[in-house]
Amino acid sequence: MAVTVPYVENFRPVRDILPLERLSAPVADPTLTDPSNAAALIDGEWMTLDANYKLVRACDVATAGNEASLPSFPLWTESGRFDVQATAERLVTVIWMGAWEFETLIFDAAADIGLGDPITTRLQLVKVASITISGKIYSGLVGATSSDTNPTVGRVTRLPADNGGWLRIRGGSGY
Amino acid sequence: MSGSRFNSLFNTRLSEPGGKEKLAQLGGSYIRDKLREVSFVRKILPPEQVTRNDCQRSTKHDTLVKIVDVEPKSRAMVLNFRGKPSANFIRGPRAEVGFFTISSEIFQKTEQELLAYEMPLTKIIEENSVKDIQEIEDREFVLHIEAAVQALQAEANSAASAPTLNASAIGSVVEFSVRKGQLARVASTDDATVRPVQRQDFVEGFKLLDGNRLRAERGLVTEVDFDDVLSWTVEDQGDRIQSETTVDGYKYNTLLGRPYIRTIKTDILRPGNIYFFTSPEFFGKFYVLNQTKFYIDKVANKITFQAWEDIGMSVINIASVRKIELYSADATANDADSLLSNFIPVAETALGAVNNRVDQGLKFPQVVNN
Repeated sequence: MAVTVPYVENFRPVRDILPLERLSAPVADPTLTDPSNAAALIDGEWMTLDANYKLVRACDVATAGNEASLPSFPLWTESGRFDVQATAERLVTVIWMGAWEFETLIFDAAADIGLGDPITTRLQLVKVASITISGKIYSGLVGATSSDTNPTVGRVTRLPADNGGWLRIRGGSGY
Repeated sequence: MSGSRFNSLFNTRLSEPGGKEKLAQLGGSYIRDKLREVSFVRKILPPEQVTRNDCQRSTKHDTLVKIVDVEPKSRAMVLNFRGKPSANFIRGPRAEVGFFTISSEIFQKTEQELLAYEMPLTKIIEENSVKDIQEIEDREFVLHIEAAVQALQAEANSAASAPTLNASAIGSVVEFSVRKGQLARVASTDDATVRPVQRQDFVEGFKLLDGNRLRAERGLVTEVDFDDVLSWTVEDQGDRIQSETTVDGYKYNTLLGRPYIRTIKTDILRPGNIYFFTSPEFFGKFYVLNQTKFYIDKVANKITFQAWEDIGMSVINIASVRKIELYSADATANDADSLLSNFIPVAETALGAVNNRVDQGLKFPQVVNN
C-alpha cells in the first residue's frame, strides 16, 4: 500500500536546531491544533504573526495558489501534540531566528505560482504558498525566482528526487 | 549577609566545583514592587506528583498524557418478585491530561555588572521565579474554569456557544453555570462596574452547585471583592460578627459555612468574578511531572539561569465549577458590550506590571545623581 504525504513527521531538522531561537506563541484559531479538525495544522507548514502576536497560516488556504505576502516561519509542532492541547491558548512552536537547514514534505515541486518556477534546481529560492497535498490544502513551499516580489524563505539544498522525496532547504539568517 | 557580599560570593561560588549547589544564602534589603502570592490553583486542586510510569506516550509525537478514569454511571430500580433488572454493560469514561512546561525567562547577566547591585539579585529572581511560575499556573487555571462554565452554560441554553449574559439579557438566558450578581441584575446599563458582593451572591453561587447533586466546597474571590464583605451590615452578619469585623476584620476561614480562597492577583482573577468549586475528587486533576527546577550556569563572565516545571492540569468534570458575575456587562466570547477585556485574565506578557515609577524619575524628594 502506498503511503501518502503527510506523514506522522513532515519536518525534520538536519542541523543543530536547539541553539536557534524558537517562538512558542498561541494560535489565533485554537481549533487548528485539534488533530481531528480537517484543517488541522501539521508540522512543516509556514506561519506568520497577526496583530495580536498570535500565529496564523502564512497564506490563505481556502484555495491553492495563494502566496504568502509577509515573512513566514516554519512550524515545528507535530499535529496532535499533547503539550499543545494541554495549554489554554494552544501554543505552537515556530523556528523564529537563526540559520537552519531542514527537510520537509510540505511542498509542491511542480507548482508554478506568480513569478515563481517549479522546484527543479539546487540552490533555487523557495517561497510559501497554499498547496494541495492528498486532497488538503496546506501552507507549504513552492519554487521561487529572484524576480519574486513576495518574501522568499530559503534555498533548495537537496532536491526531492535525490533525497527520498524530502525537500531539503536552508534558510533563516543569510541564506 | 549583605546583598553585595552575596553577589560577590555568588560569582566566586559559581566558579568553584560544587559551588552551584551552595548558593542558598539570604540577605540584603531592597524596596519591593508588589506583593507576590503562592498559587491559588494549588489550594483548589492539590497537586499530585506523577512519574513517567504513570503516563502514556503517543505513537505520533514525543509528548506525554495521563489517562484518568471517570466514575461509571449506575442506578438501582424497584422490581416485583418476578421482575428482572435492566442490564448495564459497564463503561467508564476516561479523560486525558496533557503535560506542558511553565518556565521563567532565561536570565542573563555578566559577572561584572552583578557587582553593581547591593541586593542579592540572583536570589531574589530565583525566589520570585517560583511565584512567577505559579502565577502562570493560576492564569491557565482561570482560563480553563472559565471555558468550563461557559461550555456548561451553552449546553443549558441548547446553543453552540454561551449566549450573551448581561443585565439586559436577564430572564432570557438560562443562568445554569454563570449567574449575574444581585446588584448587577438590576443595573440600568450593561457596564463594567463591579458591584459590591452581597450575602445573597454567595448563597446563589452555592446553589448553582448544591442543586445538582454536587456541593460547593469552596469559593475563589479577589481580595477587592472580599473587602466588600467588610461593608455587610448587622442584618447580614448579626451584631457579634459585626462587632468583631469592625475591630479585627473578617477573620474566619469560612463564609456562610464554606471555605473561601482570596487572591490579590487581580490581573488573573479579575474583580467581579467569583468561582465556586466542589471538592477536588469531583472536579479535576493537577499533576506535577517535574517539580520546579532551577538551572544556573556560568560561561566565562556570563551568568545564565532559568527555572521551569512540567505539569498537567485539567477540569475533567466541567459541572463542578460555577461562577457569579458582579458586573452587568457581557463576559462571554460574544463580547456584546465590548468590555470583555475587563473580565478575563490579562495577556501573559502583561502580567507583573510594575507599580513603582523609579525608572521614570518619580520618587520624592527628587534627588538627581550627577
